Amino acid sequence: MITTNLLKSSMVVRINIKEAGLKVAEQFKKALFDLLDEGNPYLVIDFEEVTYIDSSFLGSLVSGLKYALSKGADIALVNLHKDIFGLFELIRMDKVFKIYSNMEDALNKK
Amino acid sequence: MEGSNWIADHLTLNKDGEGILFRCRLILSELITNAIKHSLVDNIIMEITVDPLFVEISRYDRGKRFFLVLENQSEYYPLNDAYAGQQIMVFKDKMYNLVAVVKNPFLIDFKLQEYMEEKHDIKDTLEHFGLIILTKSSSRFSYRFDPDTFTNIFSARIETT
Repeated sequence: MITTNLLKSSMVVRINIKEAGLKVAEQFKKALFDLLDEGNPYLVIDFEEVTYIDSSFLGSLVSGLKYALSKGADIALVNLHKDIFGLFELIRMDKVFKIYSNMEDALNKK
Repeated sequence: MEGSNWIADHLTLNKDGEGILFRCRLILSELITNAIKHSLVDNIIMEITVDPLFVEISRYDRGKRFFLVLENQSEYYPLNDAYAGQQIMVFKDKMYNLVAVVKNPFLIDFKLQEYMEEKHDIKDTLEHFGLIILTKSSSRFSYRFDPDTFTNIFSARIETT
């Protein structure tokens, strides 16, 4: 479901599925928690492949961000498709997550 | 998604057509996700009504009912007449209060009260967004229990004019 790649001391987490919903939400949450437990201070989650997410997956993202912050780490999101960004805006999660339109800015935390 | 394609084919869309279809996709998705997570049934029926003035998407199932909780007790249907017109908290966090407005003993409307701050502390954010998405995507989002058929009916209406 995900592949990881260390770039400029950031762990890039690429989601490799188109539909990120209920079926994979728990698995994804566990993957985030494991990466944070490994001591990664900054996860950049790449949504380029993802065309659909639902409330369950959103819940896993929020849970992951809470856990990250509790460990002094952080999570950013990048390459959100229009509908997915629209969902974040609708429920104002764009005020909670750092969202970038390109990987360079995400890695440089601009 | 097939449902939203069907809506697009049958709806005369105004200048906010993209926005309406986006909300329809969210509603279709979340009604089904909600059923999988909470209804504990094998079958649901989805109904889409396209009218010149609105689109309405409803889900029918005979699974677990949506209960309101008052003073730590679940309230069963029919709801007590004393609750008519009352706003009953469904959940709250630092961003939202989701309330149920009792319309009659078998019908509630969901309403969202939002706290508009520039930045929010994630620590206090709940992780359940289904009902928030459904309420925010709709002009009206309601739950009705039909006591004759033991059917739960969630309906989301989007006004299109």
